[in-house]
Amino acid sequence: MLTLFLRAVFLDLFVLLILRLTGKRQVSDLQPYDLLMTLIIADIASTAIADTDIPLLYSIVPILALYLVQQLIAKLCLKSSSVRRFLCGTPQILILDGVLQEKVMRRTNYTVRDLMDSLRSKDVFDVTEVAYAILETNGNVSVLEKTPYQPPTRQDLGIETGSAALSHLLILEGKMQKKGLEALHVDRKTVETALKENGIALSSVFFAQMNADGELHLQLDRAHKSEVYDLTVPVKRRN
Amino acid sequence: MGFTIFRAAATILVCLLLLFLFLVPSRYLDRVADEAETLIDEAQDALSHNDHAAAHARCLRLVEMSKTHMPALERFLNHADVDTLAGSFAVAEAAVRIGDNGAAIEALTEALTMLDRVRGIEHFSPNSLL
Repeated sequence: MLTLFLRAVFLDLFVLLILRLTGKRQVSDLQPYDLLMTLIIADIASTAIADTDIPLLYSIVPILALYLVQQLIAKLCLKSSSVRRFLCGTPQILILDGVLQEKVMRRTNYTVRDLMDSLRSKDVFDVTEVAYAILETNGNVSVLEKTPYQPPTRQDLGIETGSAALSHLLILEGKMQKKGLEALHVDRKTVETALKENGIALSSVFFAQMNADGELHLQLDRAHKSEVYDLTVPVKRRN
Repeated sequence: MGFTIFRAAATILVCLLLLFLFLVPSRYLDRVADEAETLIDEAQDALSHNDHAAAHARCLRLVEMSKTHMPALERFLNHADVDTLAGSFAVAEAAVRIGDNGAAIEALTEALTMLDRVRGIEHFSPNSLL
């Protein structure tokens, strides 16, 4: 039994490593070929997990071979657009200026119902509002609405906007996060001083995030009734 | 950048590992199989001359060989095949010990067939590919 357990753990870690090396993280990122490869790898691994009569190498060698083939194809796709077109296909226009492209839909086996589903999932409920609907090579449909139906942006409305500031995790369960400090270019002492000025002990902070503008949002731990604070920390601006 | 270098290094390592696995196990199997085939031939020859002592000595060496090499062979061959091979050696040895020449020759022939089979799995040939 321990053998079965250890074989399962080993192969699981091995498959995890291989899938990580292939560089794709989500099923939605996968081309049909990549998805097929992932399924084959899973199937090969499961055979050796369940059958102890089979040496682990019977799973490892085919998985490594598939990994190499996948890497080779990825390299070829990067180097040659014709290989990429052949293996991954090309994006297909399903709707052009509100008109369904019947010929393309038949060629891609994409039904009107499928298309309407995809449009609805993009919050588009009327075909006439669509300028372009493009079937991407990974099966997703990208939709560009006609200009009158596009939601106005802040720029269209002339609203002044601040910088798009990404927040970083700064404190977690009373511990300052080194990566957060580095990303925000702020030193530990500055944050501690800001906390002290507001009568907050670092050890009482359950979670804190800060953006590049120095806006620090924090929540105290349960012992301090999970109180929430919004502070401003002086940060050096990067140009 | 770091991950790309890591992946390139991993790909090179995978190539080297596969090259190692293509060469080393088959050479090891060849060495063991050649030795076993020689012993089987000698045992069969001795049995055909009714030399039970010589045949028994060869069969004992085959059994010892199976104990020494089978764990290593099981790392790259199907365990059931390796067990069958070791079982054939043991049966041949027992048959020679009790003087049952027919059963001994049958077990040795089965061992030869099994050796051919495992060689066929490990060595590349267009037939095994199909």
